[in-house]
Amino acid sequence: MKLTCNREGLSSAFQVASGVVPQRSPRPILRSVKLEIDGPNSGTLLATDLELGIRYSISGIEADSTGQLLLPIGESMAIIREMNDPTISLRVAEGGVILEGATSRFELSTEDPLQFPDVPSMGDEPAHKIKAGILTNMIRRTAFACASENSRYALHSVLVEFEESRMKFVATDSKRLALMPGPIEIAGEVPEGTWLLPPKVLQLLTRVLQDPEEEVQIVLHENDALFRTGKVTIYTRLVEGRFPRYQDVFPSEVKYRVPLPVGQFHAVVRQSRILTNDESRGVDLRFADGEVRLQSRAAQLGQSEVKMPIGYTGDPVEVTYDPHLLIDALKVLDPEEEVVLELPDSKRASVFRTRDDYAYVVAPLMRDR
Amino acid sequence: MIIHVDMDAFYASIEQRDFPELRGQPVLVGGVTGRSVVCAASYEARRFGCRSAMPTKEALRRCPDAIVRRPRFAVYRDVSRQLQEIYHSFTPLVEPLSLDEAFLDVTGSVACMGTPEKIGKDLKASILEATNLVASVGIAPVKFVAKMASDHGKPDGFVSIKPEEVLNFLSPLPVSRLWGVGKMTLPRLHGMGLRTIEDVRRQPLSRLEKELGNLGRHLWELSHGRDPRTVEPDRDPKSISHEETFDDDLSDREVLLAELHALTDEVCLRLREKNWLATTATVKIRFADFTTITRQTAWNEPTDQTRLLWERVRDLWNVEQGKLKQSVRLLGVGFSGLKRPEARQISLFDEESNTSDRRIDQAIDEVRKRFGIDSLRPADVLRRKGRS
Repeated sequence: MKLTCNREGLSSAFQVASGVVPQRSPRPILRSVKLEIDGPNSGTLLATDLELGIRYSISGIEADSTGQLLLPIGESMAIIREMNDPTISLRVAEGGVILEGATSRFELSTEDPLQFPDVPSMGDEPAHKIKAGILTNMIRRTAFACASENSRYALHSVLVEFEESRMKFVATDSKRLALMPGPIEIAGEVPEGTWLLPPKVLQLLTRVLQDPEEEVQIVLHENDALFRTGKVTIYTRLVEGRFPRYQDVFPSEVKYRVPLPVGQFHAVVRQSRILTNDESRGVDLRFADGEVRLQSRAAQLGQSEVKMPIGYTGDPVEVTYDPHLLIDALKVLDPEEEVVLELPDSKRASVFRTRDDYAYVVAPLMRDR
Repeated sequence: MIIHVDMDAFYASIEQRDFPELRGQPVLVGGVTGRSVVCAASYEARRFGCRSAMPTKEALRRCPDAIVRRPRFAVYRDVSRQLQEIYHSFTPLVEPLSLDEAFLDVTGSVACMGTPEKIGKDLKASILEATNLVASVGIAPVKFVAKMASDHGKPDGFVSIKPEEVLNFLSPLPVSRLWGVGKMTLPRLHGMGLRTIEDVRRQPLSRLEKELGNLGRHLWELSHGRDPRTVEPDRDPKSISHEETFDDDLSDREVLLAELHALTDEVCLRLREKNWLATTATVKIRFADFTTITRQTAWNEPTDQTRLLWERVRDLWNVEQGKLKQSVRLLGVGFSGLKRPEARQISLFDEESNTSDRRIDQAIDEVRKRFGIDSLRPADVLRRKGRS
């Protein structure tokens, strides 16, 4: 089998696929990507670490037959990057593959492409359909809240759930919880149950999805999930384990409702974070008389007080937060919009809500040691 | 010579200092809800029988007019830091006992700063000037006499006991004042007809040892004004750890796990005694052939809870125990990445269990403070060989 291929097209496919190739693996073959040719002008680049897989359709191909070949990721990427030719020719050879430009030729030894594990494709299953812009926004507003590690719950994941014509993403590390719904066109009945997506597949999706108007198809199985756009299919295994009953963390009664302009509030929280450290992590917030006052103090550093006028005239209320938890959420919101902080009291978790139904629950810090 | 400094009604005095309307009033610092207890009572409140550690309810029954203030620990800690600086301007040998109490060894300061009495007076004056708070000072040749002396003069005390005065000072004091005499020992001493420290001193050592064992010798030494403890400057430790070399090398996995649990349990207790939270756990294993491995794990949220720390240690052990090829000579457990956060992050999910774990740890620590660490141990620790 022999083919020529547009170098730019191949390069961008490699860029995306390299995100899936594992850094190290007990199976060295996974450090390669597979190129499958199934027609004179159609080819697919495949990469997988067995948990996560990608199929990337490549255009600008002219092939003399169908077939497949393996390309070791590191060397192939370097070759494609360093060659200046607009097109590259690839050819299967004994025990490997040959890449050629007008003035250069690289013979790479590779393993047998037939040994490369399959990356499932979507087939004709009915799929839910969502706009890429909505999906990436849901990812951006939730994925940061995942736990990096946790022994008791499966918190290194984003929970997926459906409700009428909406899909919901939920992520938490047990200090805070982010929930973002988005409109979706559901195939058939509203799916019941929950699915846990690994954060890695969401990172990959944000890299792949460039055009917000593009449609993304989603199929969720019991143990895995598939996402498909025009060019790309992504396969992922789901996270196993139990996600806590996230509904329970929302305050059951709300005594105080404080409206806050995102951009300005973000700015004062960032200021009050300056004089905090590991040992004195908290910022004390006091909402009263049309004003929020933020105070921080840290031994050996000093102390700060920052004020900002707000449209709140209810009873005074004080609460202490880790400013990092607030900033994480404030930076993924539109600075021009408004959030409403709903507080039960200073000891229990409170929730920030936006008009588009984003909810961010934050547990306070307690000074009772 | 050793100086013991003890701030008078520390928390309550700070409240009265910062809020003039509280001056001259009975003030209780503590919680007001259900089972809260008093952390400190002003001298005005003590007149009514209010004491620290008393339930707030009870204190208010005794003194209905008392004003209850919520504690402001961050402020107390800041004042305590100020005090530390003052102590260190007199001697580098400072051993803080709590936020409001410390031992200072001023033996080496006499040459340049004058007699211990002068140093004590200067210290008291410096504290008053810098913090507007009153300290009681006790000066004596040994630690426990210095502590008794500061207590003797309270409030606003200044008592100096010269070496030749120690026995006279101690003689009339009740035996309950001796360090190590609690609710268990006191009735036994009374039963032996010993009421004052002089009574103890006049006993033959052999009788005390026969009745009370090592404690008997300890009390006899104290009654003579002898206390071998030196002032231990408290430097921030990098880690808190403990290790044990076994009499015979061990290979039984269950016994090893029990040993590990016992070590973890002990180190957790010390962690909490020293008021540290840890973010890293280390397990050390030395094999029969003296090869040694250490394994470490770190996490974000600092903790001092035995259950969580034991989970980390056990995870480390579980990875290694499958690979054990020889018997084990030594096990060690250490916690590092020590922090003293001023506030605790509430968890969204296991707040319930978190709180109950903290309460369990506190209760266990209380029991052990009174009856020793072996009074209460995790059940699997019983599997340790030839003990318990």
